[in-house]
Amino acid sequence: MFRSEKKSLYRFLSIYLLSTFILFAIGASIFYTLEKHHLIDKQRQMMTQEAEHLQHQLIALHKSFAKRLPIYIDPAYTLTLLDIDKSPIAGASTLLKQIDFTKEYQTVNSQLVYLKSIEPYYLGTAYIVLHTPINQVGITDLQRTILLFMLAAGLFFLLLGLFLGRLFIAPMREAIETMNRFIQDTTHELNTPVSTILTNLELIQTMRKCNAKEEMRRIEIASKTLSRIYDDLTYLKLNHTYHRDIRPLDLSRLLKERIAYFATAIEAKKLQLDEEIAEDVVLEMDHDDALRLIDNLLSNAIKYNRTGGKLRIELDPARLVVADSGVGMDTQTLQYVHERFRRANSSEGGFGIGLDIVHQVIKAYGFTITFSSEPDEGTEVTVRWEK
Amino acid sequence: MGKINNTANRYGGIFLCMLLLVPGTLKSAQKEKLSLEQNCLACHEAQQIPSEMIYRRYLMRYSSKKTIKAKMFAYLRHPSVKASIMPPPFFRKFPIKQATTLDDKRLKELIEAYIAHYDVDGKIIILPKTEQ
Repeated sequence: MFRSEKKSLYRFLSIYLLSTFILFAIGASIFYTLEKHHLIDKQRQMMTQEAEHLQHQLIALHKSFAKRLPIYIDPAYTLTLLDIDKSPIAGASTLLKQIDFTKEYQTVNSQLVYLKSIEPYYLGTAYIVLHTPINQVGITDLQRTILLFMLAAGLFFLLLGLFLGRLFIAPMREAIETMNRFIQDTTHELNTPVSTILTNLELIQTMRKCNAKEEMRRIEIASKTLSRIYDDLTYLKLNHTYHRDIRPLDLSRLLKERIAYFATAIEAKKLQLDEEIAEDVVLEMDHDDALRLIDNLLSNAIKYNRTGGKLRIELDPARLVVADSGVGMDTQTLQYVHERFRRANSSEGGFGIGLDIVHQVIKAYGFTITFSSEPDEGTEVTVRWEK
Repeated sequence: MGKINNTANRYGGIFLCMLLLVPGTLKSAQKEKLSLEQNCLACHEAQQIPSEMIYRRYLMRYSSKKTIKAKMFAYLRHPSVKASIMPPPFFRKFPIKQATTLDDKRLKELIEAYIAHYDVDGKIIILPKTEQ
């Protein structure tokens, strides 16, 4: 799967799953509240029935003059009979002080309390107070059911999201594949002629005397630019299947080599080169990655510089700085400058893949990159590897 | 050792007080009951007046002991059909009594004893349905 494809899929999945989760959470919360009320209502209904039954017993006992007046109650409930002054006649609930006598049903200390007023006052009873613990087993079962449902729904929607996501990004995948095929074909076709031009150019410069030196220099710059574009495109194409060969790399030496490689272009643009390259800066890095990082930074600094401008290159054990005195960029442009096929300035040629490659390398090695730029004054790019 | 002796002495003292007070309280309760029987129940029984049923009517109408005491006191001090808890037909069989000659304090004590004698407190027992 391609990088952009993955990014789109993750974005789609996160939005899809988050919205689904919020929707389900609201639904589950409403369902839980309703079901909990239903469970409590059921308990209340049973308490009401029990209180009715107790009232009937009181009516019957009121006519009895026996020495013992037994009242039978379901052992799940605690009963207290109160007179009109709220003094206990039988039973003595510990919750009496906390009961609100204006409410028929209430919850006190996790106990469901039912207060039934009766009149006339059989055996002097004005209130039947019943209480029982809230059915926590039912509520726990309900919570467990909802949690399981949420998990199952989450899994189902995750799979559905993956399926839908792949379906949605299929056209994008096709577009990327087409572009990759095009790049592959183009690079393949470019490789041979570019190599031939560069080899023959070198042969002419070394073995034969040529009067058209300026024209030869232009051909060299153009050929090297073509060669670098070829390298960038190959790097991009191979990126997702690329196996890095990481080993100690003399960055100082490589940087000097690449400056020499760009010498013709620097000279053509009459740039004033200011080099401060520390010796023996060694990094654990793949050669191609380092090459693409340096080449792209140097190439941009030359390409977007003004004729007769300055090019400053600094390398020390902690960082690499490439600064130019060219067109520069505004703050808004800096935000998307690293995106593929984005070009900060269309005055120069290119595909807009240079800084994308730089960012890929930075990300792969955990380096940091900072841009300091002012329009018409220039850009300074700093890559740091030491935290 | 001294501390143990002190504790033993204290509990011994409490026990002695209880021994002296309990018979006193029991004697007082018996005296009140006897007085109630002489002043009230003797007549009620002779005339076959259903005292316990009358008290149940008080309970059913007023519930509050305080109100019942006040209503009984008012009736005994100034007996009338209107002030009575019993319905008017009751007085066709049982003539209305004379106003009591007892002083207020004595009358209140006897009302207390009457209520204590017929009250349902302690008689109502809450039992689980399994024992029905």
